[in-house]
Amino acid sequence: MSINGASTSENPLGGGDSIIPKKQSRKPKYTKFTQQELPACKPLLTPAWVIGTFMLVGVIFIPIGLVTLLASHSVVEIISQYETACLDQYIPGASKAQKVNYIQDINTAKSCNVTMNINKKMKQPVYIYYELDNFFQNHRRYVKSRSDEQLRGGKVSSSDLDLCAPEAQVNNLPIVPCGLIAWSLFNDTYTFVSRSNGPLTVNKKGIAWNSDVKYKFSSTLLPSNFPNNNVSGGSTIGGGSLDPSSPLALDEDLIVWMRTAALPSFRKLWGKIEIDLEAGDTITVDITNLYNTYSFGGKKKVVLSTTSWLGGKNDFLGFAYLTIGCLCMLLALLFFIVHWRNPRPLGDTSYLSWNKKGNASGENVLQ
Amino acid sequence: MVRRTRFWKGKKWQFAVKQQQQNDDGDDVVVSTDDSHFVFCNRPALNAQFRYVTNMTSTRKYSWWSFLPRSLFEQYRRAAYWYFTAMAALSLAPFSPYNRFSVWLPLAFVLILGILRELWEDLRRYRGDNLVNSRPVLVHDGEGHLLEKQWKHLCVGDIVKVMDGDYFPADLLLLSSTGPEGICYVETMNLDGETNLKVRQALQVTWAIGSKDEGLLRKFEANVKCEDPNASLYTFAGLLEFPDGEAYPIGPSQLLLRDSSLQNTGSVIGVVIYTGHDTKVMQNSSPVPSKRSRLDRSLDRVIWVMFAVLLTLSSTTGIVLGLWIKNEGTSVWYLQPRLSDPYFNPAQAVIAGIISSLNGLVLYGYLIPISLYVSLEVVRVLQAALMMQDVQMYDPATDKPCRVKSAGLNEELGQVDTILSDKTGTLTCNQMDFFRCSIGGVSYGKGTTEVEASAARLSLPLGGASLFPDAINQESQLYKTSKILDSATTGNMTNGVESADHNLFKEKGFNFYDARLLGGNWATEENSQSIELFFRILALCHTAIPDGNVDNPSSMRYRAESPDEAALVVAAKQFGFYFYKRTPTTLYMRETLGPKAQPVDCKYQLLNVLEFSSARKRMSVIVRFPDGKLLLLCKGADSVVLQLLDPNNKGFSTQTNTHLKQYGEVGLRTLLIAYKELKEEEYIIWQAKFEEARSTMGRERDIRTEEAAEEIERGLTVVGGTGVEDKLQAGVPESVDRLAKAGIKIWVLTGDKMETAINIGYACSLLRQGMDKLIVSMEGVEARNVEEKAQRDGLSRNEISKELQSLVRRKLEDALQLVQMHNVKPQEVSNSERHQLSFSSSLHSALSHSFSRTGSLSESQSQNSIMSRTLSSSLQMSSIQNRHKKSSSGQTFTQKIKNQESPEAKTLVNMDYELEYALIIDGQSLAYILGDNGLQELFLQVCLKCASVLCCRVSPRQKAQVTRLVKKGLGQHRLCLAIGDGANDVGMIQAANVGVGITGVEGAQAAMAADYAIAQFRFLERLLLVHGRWCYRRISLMILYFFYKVCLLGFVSFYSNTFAHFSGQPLYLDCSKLSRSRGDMQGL
Repeated sequence: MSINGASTSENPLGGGDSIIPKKQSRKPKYTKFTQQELPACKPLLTPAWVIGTFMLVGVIFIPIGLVTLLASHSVVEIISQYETACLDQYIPGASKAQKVNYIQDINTAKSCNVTMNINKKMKQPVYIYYELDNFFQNHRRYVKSRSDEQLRGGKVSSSDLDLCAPEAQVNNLPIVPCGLIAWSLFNDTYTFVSRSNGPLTVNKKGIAWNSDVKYKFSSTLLPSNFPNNNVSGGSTIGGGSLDPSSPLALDEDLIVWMRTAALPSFRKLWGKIEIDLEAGDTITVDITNLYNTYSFGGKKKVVLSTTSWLGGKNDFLGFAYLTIGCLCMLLALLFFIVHWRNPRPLGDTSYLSWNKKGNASGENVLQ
Repeated sequence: MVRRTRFWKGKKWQFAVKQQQQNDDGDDVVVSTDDSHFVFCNRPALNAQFRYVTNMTSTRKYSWWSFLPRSLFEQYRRAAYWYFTAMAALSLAPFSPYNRFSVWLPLAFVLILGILRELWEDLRRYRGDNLVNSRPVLVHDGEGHLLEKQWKHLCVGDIVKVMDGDYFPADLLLLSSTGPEGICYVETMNLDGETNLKVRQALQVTWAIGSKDEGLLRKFEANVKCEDPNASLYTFAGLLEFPDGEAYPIGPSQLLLRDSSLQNTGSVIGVVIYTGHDTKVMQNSSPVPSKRSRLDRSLDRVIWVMFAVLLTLSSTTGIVLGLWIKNEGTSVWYLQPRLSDPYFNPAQAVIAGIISSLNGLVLYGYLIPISLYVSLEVVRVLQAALMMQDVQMYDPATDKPCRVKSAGLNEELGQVDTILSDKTGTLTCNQMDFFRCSIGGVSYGKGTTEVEASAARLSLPLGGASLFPDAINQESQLYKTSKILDSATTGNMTNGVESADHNLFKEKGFNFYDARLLGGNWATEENSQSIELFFRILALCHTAIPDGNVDNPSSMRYRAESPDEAALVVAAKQFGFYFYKRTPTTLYMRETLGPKAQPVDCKYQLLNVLEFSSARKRMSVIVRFPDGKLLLLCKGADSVVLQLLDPNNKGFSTQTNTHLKQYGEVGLRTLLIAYKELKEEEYIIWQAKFEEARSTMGRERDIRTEEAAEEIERGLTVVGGTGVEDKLQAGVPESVDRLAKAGIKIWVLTGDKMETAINIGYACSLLRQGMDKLIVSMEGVEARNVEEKAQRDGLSRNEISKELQSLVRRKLEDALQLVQMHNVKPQEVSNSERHQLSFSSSLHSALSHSFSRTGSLSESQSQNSIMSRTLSSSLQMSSIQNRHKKSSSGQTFTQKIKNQESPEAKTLVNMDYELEYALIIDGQSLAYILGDNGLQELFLQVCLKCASVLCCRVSPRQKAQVTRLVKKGLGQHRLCLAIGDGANDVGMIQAANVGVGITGVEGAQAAMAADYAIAQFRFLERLLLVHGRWCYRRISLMILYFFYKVCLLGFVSFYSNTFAHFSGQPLYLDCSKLSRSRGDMQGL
């Protein structure tokens, strides 16, 4: 650099400096880091680079999308919506108030059945889900209303209990498990009868997360003062009751329910059928229709589904990959055509603002 | 005593002063009506009634008790901080979705960091102040003894004694000096940046005080009545009244200003007039401004937008939730609407909605990132560290790396549009070197000037010369000869300066090499007579004061009015004419005539000094030589002295003039040296006239003295001319050039003379040959006409200033018209006949030509020759007649360049096409401009169209004012940077968007006040174009990324809430929850 050359120039004042004793020089140390000279890579977006990159993304994404879509399509899923069907058996064409009255009356008959036709062979394990709709498990009032400390079986302070409002205590005694979530436990039950195999056994074990069972729910704590356990008729009914002699960790339905859903339409695992279901078979589901979704117009469904290596049925991922991949290919093609029809050298300085005619800098200052 | 008792009553006293003034009306002394500052000299206790401020000065931004609130206030100037505080307050509410600590902690961190930094800076200022305030000074204790006191304990009315080299502790009225006739010399570098010595003279009545007789000191008793404290450094008016009723007018010549220092004088005695913050220098200082980066401010604006977005989001949240609760709250049984609380109560949905929208503010608070502010601080500190570590901005000569004072302005460096630069010590080293001379029609001296060297480096032909074939030949010949001579003597073809470096005779002020003259060799030259006379004139015609050991010529320093004057005396010394002592009437010289001659002591009787003034542009002395001859020796600007030559005896004037033009073109300051032998009778008659003129009182005096001087300075004979190089700092022309190429405009604001400024302008390629110079000056004929007219018509001061103001306005309007006219394409100019300009030779100075315009402009204007238009010397030589011709020759010139096809040539073509203008304006005109809003506007319009602007003779305050004006004029999107090295630049540095200080040799005030301190001007290039750009880009990128990030976080949070009826459930866990319940994902 030319600047370095100046170090040899004489001191402008001349003389007098030799008297000053040599101090330690304050010259900054030269390192590549402090001088900001570390090797750096900044990709230059040349046409070839851009077209190539888009091409590559397209080439990678489209196959991934196809594979994902394929996996999703290999899943067999049968859904049956039953909240209206079950009601129609008893009071067809009921008004909302009638529906609510019906479901809240503990004395009304609540059993009903739906049939599900197996079109395609379902390999075991076949998962049973219930699906709720328009149910806001993600509502803040709802999400907050639990005490993890209590569920874990720890010492519950009054502030912990406060978290559970408005379902924290009855008659000044703490509810175990407290909170709106536990109180609104889903309590419809299903039994499955296959036309060919007769009644199917449903495995209710292992439907909750292992970590939840192990760490988050106490294996010794027994439910107590649970409001749903001593409902004496009327309309105060919440969700399901709990077995007062079974510790929380054993009630996997509760554990599944307490892992709140992020969206208002959600499925929760209810059990597993551990035999293959052949195509052409018909399954009759006997339902006890207890859970109140009629107040807020929610739907209830029962779902049978197999899984693939990618989980349940979900076409979104495959479509997303395919869309992005195709878009990239399209852009690559577009850029290629533009570059081919109208090429220009990289770094053409004549396009710089100050090289453009009639746009000299500082000319249009005072307008 | 009667009077004193009258003065005891505070209010009444002011009235009394006014009355008295009316009585004084007949007197010539002009005392403005607000002269209410009153001092009992030598009786400080009596002054206590007026409650003058103490001599304690403080530059601190805060006082101890106001520190916390004010520094907090400083922090809260960021709009975002108010928001953060409000959010933190909200987080205390029970409905807050986040833990309070996760909101309070970062806020407290940022605030405390900011306050600590302010504290640290203020402590540093406090320490600096303390150092100044506790300097010792000798003070009269009232009993005839002088005791040492600290500066801060000084009171108005105290009598102090200041020793040689010391700074004046306050504004003093000079009473007496150990120098002859009450004279003392002061250096005012801290005030105006000038290193020359200025003379102050005490009133004759007070000369005796402070002499051996201490009783006089004790008995001294007088009152001073003068102006109220004000900021004007160059004016002062008052009356010194003795108890016996005698009153003497006092003026700036008796005032010793704080922060200037006593030089070349044993000691002085003075009375403290203004103390502390009343002193002129403190009045000139503006409070330390808190600079904020424009980026910070635009960030604030973005924050407001984000805040609006946030409000929309959170009110949407509130409204939607409220409606939902109202309409469907009762049906969602799983939320237990029957056991309601304010957050969920279908009966009172409005309350729930309001709470929910407050909650939304916190919930989507991501949109306004506090972490951005923390990150910004950290990034800036790191950037500052990198700048300070830059080896390429380290100056080995002064052992100083770049220092960053306000890292907050890093990115501003990359957006600078205009640089306001000081000249002395910033662009130049403030060192003048005798470089070339022309004696008896022969040019001596070789080597390459900075201008030549930089022109060569930039491979630009010396502009004007190339336009005209005659000039180009002469110039290149001169250039070639010097090169050939260099190569002949040293065998070094590449750089002429290097051969001069080996010069044995080189010293400060002397960078001349020519074997024909040095070492006494001149005696063998054929025109040795002229040479001898030439050197004698150099050694005699000056006002410099020798300082050093008489018997050791090499250690002798000369304190001169300007460094170029000193350079000439040094040159004479080197040639064997050693000037070593000055008394008011005699000049002592030791002459060595010839290579082997013995030194001889000579005495020259100094009869008169006809002083230099910027109007006269020359100085003369009348000296009686040892052989009895009576000579008038004169040196001055060639343009002026040429008019004074004896028309019958032109001598070498033509050759000398040609040489001087050439010197001027290569960036040297030129002076013509002439003399005249006086007849005894002639002198005696003149002397009487001159004495009479000098004894006139008041404003008349200067005019009459000038007239008298002019009378004798006639019929001169040319001996030769000198070329002195104003040494530029290393790399300045290249830096200026590159900054200009980067589109940065450079203004020079200097306290120097106009000619000097113009020279330097050329030297550092701010002014280029072929640029049109628009000069607005109060020293021209027009201004003088106005003043004369005013005197004739007896106009009051106000009316005069109005006249002058309208003069300035006319000039500016003309300039604007000219600039706008030629900002169009050159072709259009040459095509439109009515824009033709005709030049007429100037009346008042050969340097600046007046021109009159025909066509669209009115007759009266052309008669007044309003616009001064300076032409480059080469333009003068060729008899170019009009604009048309000039631009056409410009085109042929560009044609030539195009054939060469070098990139530099191309840029030159571009520059030439733009037909650039340079505005040159002096401080007096500026004063009128700054005093009027309309004029300010006009001035800005002109300036912003000009490629370069030079402001000469500006005071520190004006520098700051101009800077503020520029800052205003540039508007929001373009920034100005001020760079300077002296205390006189502090105001400017503080006023600019970015202030850069040169940690040069001239004290550290500028560097202290600056935001960035660099050791050399050329580092500015790297600071702006490399670091500035990097910082700007990186910080901008970071901020953009931050907003991308916060939008992502905020909007996703909002979007997720649309799925939960805007219940306000946070999507992300805050840190406290993360640590408390590991694995608690809650499914969200």
